[in-house]
Parts: sequence; structure tokens; C-alpha cells
Amino acid sequence: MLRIETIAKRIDNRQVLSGASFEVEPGQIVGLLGRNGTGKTTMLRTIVGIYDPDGGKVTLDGIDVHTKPEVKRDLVFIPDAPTALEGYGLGECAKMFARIYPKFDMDFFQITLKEFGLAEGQKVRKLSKGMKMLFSTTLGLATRARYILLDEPTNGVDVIAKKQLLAIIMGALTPESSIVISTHMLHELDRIADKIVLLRDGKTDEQWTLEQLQQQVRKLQIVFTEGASAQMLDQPCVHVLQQIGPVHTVLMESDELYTLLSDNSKLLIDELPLTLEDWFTWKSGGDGDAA
Amino acid sequence: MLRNLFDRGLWWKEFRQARLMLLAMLVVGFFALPYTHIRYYSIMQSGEIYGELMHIIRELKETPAGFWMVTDLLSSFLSTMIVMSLILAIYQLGLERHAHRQELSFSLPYSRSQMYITKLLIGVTFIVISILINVLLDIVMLYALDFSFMMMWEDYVTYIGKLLLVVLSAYSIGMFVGTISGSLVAHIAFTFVVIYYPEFIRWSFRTVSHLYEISILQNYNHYPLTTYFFDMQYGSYPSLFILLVTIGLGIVHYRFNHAEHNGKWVVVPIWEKILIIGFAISSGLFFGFYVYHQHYSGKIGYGIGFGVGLLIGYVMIKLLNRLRVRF
Repeated sequence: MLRIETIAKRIDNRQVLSGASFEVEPGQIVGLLGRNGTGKTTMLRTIVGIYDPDGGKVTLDGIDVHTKPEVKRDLVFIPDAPTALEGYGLGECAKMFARIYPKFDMDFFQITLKEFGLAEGQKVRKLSKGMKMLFSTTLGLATRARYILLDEPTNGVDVIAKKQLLAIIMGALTPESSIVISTHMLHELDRIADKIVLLRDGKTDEQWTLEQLQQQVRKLQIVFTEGASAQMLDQPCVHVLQQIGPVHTVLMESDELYTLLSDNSKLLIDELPLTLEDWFTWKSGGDGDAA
Repeated sequence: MLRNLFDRGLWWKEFRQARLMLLAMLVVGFFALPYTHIRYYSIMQSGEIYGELMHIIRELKETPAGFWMVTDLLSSFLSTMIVMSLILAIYQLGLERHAHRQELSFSLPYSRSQMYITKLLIGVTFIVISILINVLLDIVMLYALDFSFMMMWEDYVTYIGKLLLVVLSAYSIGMFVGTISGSLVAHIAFTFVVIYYPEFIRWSFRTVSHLYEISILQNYNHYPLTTYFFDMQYGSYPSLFILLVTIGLGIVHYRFNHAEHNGKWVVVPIWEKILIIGFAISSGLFFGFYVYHQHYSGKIGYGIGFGVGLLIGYVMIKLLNRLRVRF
């Protein structure tokens, strides 16, 4: 298991992470969410050892990743652009990674490249932004490391390639492996993530499995008929997404309030399907510090 | 431990990153040593003696036992290889901080010490290969051109040994400088500082010691390293000492490198303070010298110049230090 324990990191006199913790269990796809500048990339870089944490630790099967870096043969980070590999050919990168990661799957790499219409002799720098992401994600998945960290993998990728990319990500997941994805594409995570970690003010207070989230949070459309007061929605467990006249679209995190509202005959209540985007808007909306 | 030092993935990556420099060192080294012998030979054959070679050829004709001619050539080979080794260090460390290459390295399953030692071993291998191949070519050339009869081979071999040690120690200094520099530009700038700063200090101390009669500063000629990159007059022990110390310092500093500081001038906090203090004092010394010679001679003139320079230098380095350099 990959365990991130109370990680703190200060960069340029700004406390980016302040006690962030979460766990990644085998077989899971974990979505790391947060507004721009909340420290998602810093978090991934700290997990993989690019940055040393100021406090806390990252352990893989109980071994500290920063003191025993050799355990990182099972931990791969794919950044949002493969700028470090720009001088290399695609096949050359595969040969290098095959020497570094013992379980590297060359067949998978070559077949997937062919599917994307990429040739091994091509230089990384010659690829378009989207193609670079397809290539680097393929490279990362081909390592067959047990924990793969992807930073914005669908950045700049067109709709068709995005589908292909999500398919190979899902296809590469085994019961022993896990993938952590940092992304703004919430509707994609909606479909593939098992667990959501929300990064806010350098902390990870909100962590849910998608199943738990759907049970815990309701999206409701409430119509206040004559005589009913909307004041009962002024509670911390309620977030109004939209209000058009008497019609309120809200998110609600309380069973008691839901029961109370349901019993009120002056209200018309309809339950809508909850999306990750709704929940994210609620939880991150007040994050004034986020850039 | 040994297995860790010779991890083929890491070696391949580091070799791939620096391989162009091996070729460059071989080619430049060739033009600095064996090719020069061929040129000497063809000039001697043609009978036309001209330019900077004139005195050498004349004296060689008068005194055929001319190992000095070879040492003269070897010293220019030495300077060339020192420059190339410093460029190699910049190529391996300064360039790595550009385009997130260092971030890729730090994400790999290797310790920082292992990475730094592998870089050093690759660099040392490049230097040894390029020097030995060119020296071998030179020996072949000396034999082929019938110069061998006037060679003192024992001296030649000793000189090559010392040359190797000096080049390796210069390379190791360059690598150490790279561990504290935050960008390619910073690495290049600090390499120049390391080369020329001792001369500047000597030059400044000469004025200060003369003006204020500070006895301790009068020994400026004897400070360690003041002439390291210019005279190369040190014996093997100081070079070996410098090599070992800079390797140790390099490993320690690379281990504590903060990738988040890449783009700054200095990535190690303690060296940032040293940079600020050093820059301000150097600016003071420079302005003191300038005012003393151009406007008001005497202690007061120097003192005013030093004070103003100190202030200007401090403000400048504070402003410069805020900049993030992309390269």
C-alpha cells in the first residue's frame, strides 16, 4: 500500500502542503482534485521523491520512499508534459525505462504506440502536445510499476485520443496495481475513479470513495411553493448550486435535513444524479487562496 | 554497493545525456595535442618558420633534446582539457536543471548520492578516455615523425599522470559548483567566478594591504587556490586533496539539492547567504579600487568607494536573487 502521511511542503515562502495524508490501496484509481495552485503537482512530486517533504513521510509497503529510493521501481510519475525526454526517440525512452524498471512491458509499449499511430523512431520533441501525453502515459504504464502517478494525463489530448487514453489506463489496471490521477477533467474521473481526494489549503480533509460520496451527498431540486421559506437551506450542510425563482438546485450532506424537507408538504423535491463537478464546485468554491 | 554504482539503467541514462561531450573532448583534444605535432612537423619540413612557432622551432633546431617543447605543448593540452572538463561538468549538471531533466532523474529509483557518483564516474571515464587516446595518438605521432629520439619518456609519463590529476580535480570543482548552482546560466557564471575570483581577490588584497598595512592580507600570493586555474604549478598532493574534497562536498550538496529551487541562482540556502555577502563585499572592493584610482586616492577615498560599492552590491544581488532564470 502507498501511504502518504501528514506531508508538509513549503515552496518560495508559501506553505503548499500542510499535513496532507491519504492512502492508495491496490486495485484502486484515485483522483486527486483541487483548484489550480492548491498543490496537486507538488503532492505528486513529493510522493515520488522529486521534492523532499519538510514534514511527514511517504511509505510504500511500509518502506520510506525518500530514504530507500530503490522501492521506486514500483512507483512511477508521469508529468503533465515529457519535456525531460524531448531529446530522445520514442524507442530510446522505452529502452532506457526497460533498463531502469525490471518489469517493463516492451510488447505493451510497442503495440500501444502502433495503436496511436506513433513510430518508435520518432523524436519526442516532434510530437504534438496531445501525442506527447499519449506517449508518456503509455511509457509510464508499460513500466508495470504497482503505483503510477499521472499528472493531468488528458491535458491537450483530443476527444478521440482521450477515450483511447482512458481505455489504456483502465486496461492497465490490475488487482495489484493502482493509479493516482491529478486532473481537472471531473467528468472523466466520474467514470473511472474509485476514490476521490480533495486537496484544499494544503490538506486532504475530504476523501471519499465514489460510492460513499453518492450515498452521503444528495443533489436535489427543491421548489418552494407559497408559504414555504427557503431559509431552511442556510446551513453548512447545504450548498445552493442554482436558484431560479422558487426553484433551488442544491447539494445536501445531511440525512436529517433531507427527511425534514421530504416531510414538508409545501415543498416539491426531486433527486438528481450527483456529479463530481457539483461536489467539487461546492467543496472548492470557497477556496479563496487557490489560483 | 558496487552493484548500485554500476546500475546499467542509470549509466545508460547518464551516458546518453553526456555522450556528445565525449566526442567533443576527443576532437578538441586531438587538435590541442597530436595535430599540433603534425603541424610542427610540416612546418619544419617546409623550412618556413613563422609566427608563434618561430622561437620554438629555432630553439628546437639548436637544442635537439627538446622535451621542453613537448611540455610546452602539453601545457596547452592541459588548459584545453581543463576547459573541456568544466564544460562537461556544466553539460552534466547545469543543463540537467533545464527542461525538468533533473526532476526526471530525482523521480527514478536511485539515491541522489548514487546519481552524483555515477555522473562523476561517467565524467572521469570521458576525461581519461579522451586524454589517453590523444596521448597515445601523440606518442604514435612522435614515433612516426622521428621525434622519439629526443623524448624523455619517463618525464613525459609523469607529466601525463599529473595532467590527468589536475584535469580531474578541475572537473570535480566544476561538478561541485554545479551542485549549488540553480540553473545553466548560474553554473556557467559561477564557474567563471571560481576561475577568476582568486585573481580578483589577490588584486584587491594587494591594494588593501598596501593602503591599510594589514599584514595578514600581504600574503595574498600564498592563499590556497589563488592561482589554481592559471599557473597549474601545484604538485600532485594539492590536486588530489582538491579532488577528494570537492567529490565529498559535491555528494553532500547534491544529496540535499532542492529541485523546487531550480531557476534560482543558488539552490543551497547556506550558499545563498555566502553569495549575498560575497557579492556585496566584492562590489565594495571593486568600487573602493575604482574611486581610489580614478577620483580620490588615499584611505578615505578607498573607504568611501568601498562603502558605496557595498551598498550597491547588496541591493543588486538582492534584486538579482529574486529573478528566476529559465536557462
